[in-house]
Amino acid sequence: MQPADPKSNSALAVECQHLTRRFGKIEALAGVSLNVRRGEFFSLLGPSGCGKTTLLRIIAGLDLPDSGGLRIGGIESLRLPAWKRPVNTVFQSYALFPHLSVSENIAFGLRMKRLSAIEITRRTTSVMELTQIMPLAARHPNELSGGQKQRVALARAIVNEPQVLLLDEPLGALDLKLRKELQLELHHLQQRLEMTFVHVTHDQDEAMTMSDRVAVMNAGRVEQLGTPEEIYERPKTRFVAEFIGECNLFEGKFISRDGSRLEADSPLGRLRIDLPSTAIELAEQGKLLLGIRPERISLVGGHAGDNRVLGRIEEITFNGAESRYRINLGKVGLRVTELNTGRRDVGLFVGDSVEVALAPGNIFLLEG
Amino acid sequence: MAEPTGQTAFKRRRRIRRTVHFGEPLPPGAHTFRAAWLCGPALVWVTMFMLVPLLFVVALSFAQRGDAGEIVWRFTWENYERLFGHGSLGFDPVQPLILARSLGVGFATAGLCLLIGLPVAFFIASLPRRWKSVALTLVVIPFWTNLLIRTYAWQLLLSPEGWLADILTTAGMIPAGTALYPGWPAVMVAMVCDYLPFMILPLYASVEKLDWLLAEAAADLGASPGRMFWHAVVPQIRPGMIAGGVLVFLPATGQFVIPDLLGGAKLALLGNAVQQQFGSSRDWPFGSAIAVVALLVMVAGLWLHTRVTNGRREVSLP
Amino acid sequence: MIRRSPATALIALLVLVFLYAPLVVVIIYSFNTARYGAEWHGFTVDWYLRLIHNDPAIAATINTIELACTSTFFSVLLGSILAYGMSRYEFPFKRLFHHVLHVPVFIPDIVMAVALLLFFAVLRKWLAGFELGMTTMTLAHITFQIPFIAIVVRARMADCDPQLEEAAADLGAGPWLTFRHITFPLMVPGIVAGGLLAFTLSLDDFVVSFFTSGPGSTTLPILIYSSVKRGLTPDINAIASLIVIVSALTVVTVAWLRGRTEVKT
Ligand SMILES: Nc1ncnc2c1ncn2[C@@H]1O[C@H](COP(=O)(O)OP(=O)(O)OP(=O)(O)O)[C@@H](O)[C@H]1O
Ligand SMILES: [Mg+2]
Repeated sequence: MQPADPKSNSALAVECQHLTRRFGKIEALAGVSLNVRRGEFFSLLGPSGCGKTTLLRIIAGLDLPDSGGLRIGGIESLRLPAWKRPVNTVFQSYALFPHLSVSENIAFGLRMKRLSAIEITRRTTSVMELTQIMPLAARHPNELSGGQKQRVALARAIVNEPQVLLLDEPLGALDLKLRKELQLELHHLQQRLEMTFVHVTHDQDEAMTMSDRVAVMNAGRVEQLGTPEEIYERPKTRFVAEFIGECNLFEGKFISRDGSRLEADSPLGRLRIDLPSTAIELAEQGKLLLGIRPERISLVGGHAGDNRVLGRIEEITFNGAESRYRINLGKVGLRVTELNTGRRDVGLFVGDSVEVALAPGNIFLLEG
Repeated sequence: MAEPTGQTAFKRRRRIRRTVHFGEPLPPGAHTFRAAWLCGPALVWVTMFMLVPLLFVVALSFAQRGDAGEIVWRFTWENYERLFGHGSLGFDPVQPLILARSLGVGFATAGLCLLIGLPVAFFIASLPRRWKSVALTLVVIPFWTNLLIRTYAWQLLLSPEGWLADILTTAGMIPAGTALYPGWPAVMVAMVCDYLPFMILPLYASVEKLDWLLAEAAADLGASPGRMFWHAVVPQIRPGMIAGGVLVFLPATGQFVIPDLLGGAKLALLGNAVQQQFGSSRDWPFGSAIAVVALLVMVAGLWLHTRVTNGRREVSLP
Repeated sequence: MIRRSPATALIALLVLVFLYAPLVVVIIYSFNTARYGAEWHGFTVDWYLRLIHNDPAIAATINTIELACTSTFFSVLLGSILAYGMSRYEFPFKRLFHHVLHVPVFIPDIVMAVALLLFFAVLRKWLAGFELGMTTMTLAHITFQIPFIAIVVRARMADCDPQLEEAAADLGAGPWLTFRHITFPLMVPGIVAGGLLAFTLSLDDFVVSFFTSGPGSTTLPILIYSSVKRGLTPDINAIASLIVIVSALTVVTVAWLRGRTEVKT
């Protein structure tokens, strides 16, 4: 199957320009601008109530922004009704039609397009095979399990071969095991269909494993947009750093800068920091917010040129694949994670003094 | 977290002044315009054939009766004064008695229905799921059959030749050949029989939602069954009790057929009084005043009902 | 879980007997050979056979059915559209109208009856040739049926997620197709149930009919009432039994429909 032919040759599937939406006093969207590229798996990640569903509904045409612009496939779309937009949605609660069977549910979109009966049967069957729900064809939605409903909702949307598929927490209602399984399937499916997926989730693992790019949202704003690696390795704001993965945060004071090499004073002592080019202008302020991931800190070894600080182990938690340490550095504590490589002769115990190594390239600088 | 639904608020500030209704962008005003076309006909109908006639009744209740029974449009409070006992020869208790009797019958019916309905509601709630709906349907069937026929049936049951009279005669409780109607007992029996479903349905709905943990906690704390029921169960089913009470009280107070067929002339209620004034007495203004009082009773009952059900007023249906 | 106790079971059984006693007794007496009174003389189906030759009863039956059918048709139309509008659109004073709609449901029959009698009397003064009869009865019945249908259909629609309609729009169905393929099919069980109940309501109504009827528009309940008042009852039992059975079957059908088409989530 191929996605519907793009009407324009824009490389962008969805362009949102400064969208705002208020519900009374609540600002559900406070100026969201983002672009989704054609054929990518794009995730909107954020805590509950941050405006993800609202944004998705605006793209689908089920809601209007108070101001802003929206283009889908390069075409100005805010004035288009939902049924004329080349997008389809997998709803958070599935919204399967209770009075139609599974195959009728899936055929609904094609019937509305007045395709021939043969064509409808052909496409419905192929999508049901793709999503492995062939045996369920004659059942009604109330006779399906949660996972099966999810597949039907997905099939019902992709059978229309939309330019953009919108998924609103499609796996949210499923148990963990099923979720992991379907995450993978969804990812493969997207690669096979080469369709643009805009996927909403509040589960960071889900966003990280499946997406080409992620927009992290908070309180109606996009805090950061980038590949999962970028967002994890170089979080831009305090919110992103704390929302995704674990993070040690501490304040610092600007001392000097030499190209991309920064020197700062911090509760850990004087630190050397390597900055990516994008973050350099941030560093000119007097006060800095610094962060480092627990697994990027070495308790033993490290490399030449690392920042080194002395501390005492306060707590060790063995966690199978890894061990977590809490290190007391006097003024601040650090969380450190070390992979258990099997050589447990390192012999670290609570109360031991250790030399903590922080590589200059692993420390990042945050806004606010 | 509230998920957004199909409707979106239809007032919007700033640049985009349209609304979306199930995926359809509507210009301002279009939403209300469509609503008017959809809801308008029925609402106009009900207004025209219900509210306007009621306004006529209210207006007429302040008019006078001419000598030949015609209506004289001259403002007067006379009808209401008469209703509350103001006669030409001083205090005349006939009309106030009718009002008092109607309210009395209403309360008595509601009370009896509550007493009888409670155990039934508990019993239905204790049934397995399948049998619940069967039991509820069984309760509802008599309610949807003709009230006139059921009332007439009580005439058959309570007649001197009927089985009940036979049994009571054999037991020596009444002399042979005594009719069990007309009279109070007959009216009350028919009332309770007719309105019991109105009580059982809302009671059942409350009992079904009952939190038994509270009752069990009370029992654990050493409360006697009576005290447990009173302090842990009754407060929880109070909304159902009040809703059922109002649903029984309202129609019972305004009943016309039951007292007419089983009560006899001496036991006239508001409904019979209205009928008499609009019928044989040909005093429509006075009849209207009685109708207005019945309406006020209804409004008071509905107000109470709305308060206990938080505005979710639902008619008991199968 | 509520424990079942023999005491409540016994009371429930007695209540059931109490509720059904009048219905059963009418049906039993419809087979009684006795011409007058309530004494049991013997079994016969004569009364049912005689109905065929009972011209007033046949005329009343025709009137009753005609009235019920006409009024139900119009009230289903008006009430369902109203329910759709009220559950899918917002408009000013909606709450007020919601309350207005409940007036015909809760108003004492007799008050509604005299109000309409008065209203029609006033109309008669203004409109020449406007007489009490089938037309006025139909108008009156539609008035008390609309709210019942609207309430039943709205309750049904409240059970259906509005997101279904959004999903339809999302899948390419415009407003009309959405209504035709999604909203309407979901409303149908409510419309059928509401219509059947409204039909029963019209079939059973005595008080409002009595006051809004004219010469030649006697319905079965009116016929029954006047016979009962005059004490001429044997052939009435047969008619009454038939009405009871029709009503009971209707209610069972509605309950069955509801159980079958309940929206499961
Ligand atoms: N129709 C509405 N009326 C009023 N408030 C709304 C409406 N829709 C959304 N909101 C509010 O807007 C904010 C954003 O809601 P939204 O549904 O977009 O959150 P979300 O990110 O999808 O959350 P979740 O992860 O819980 O689904 C919330 O505070 C919500 O309460
Ligand atoms: Mg959401």
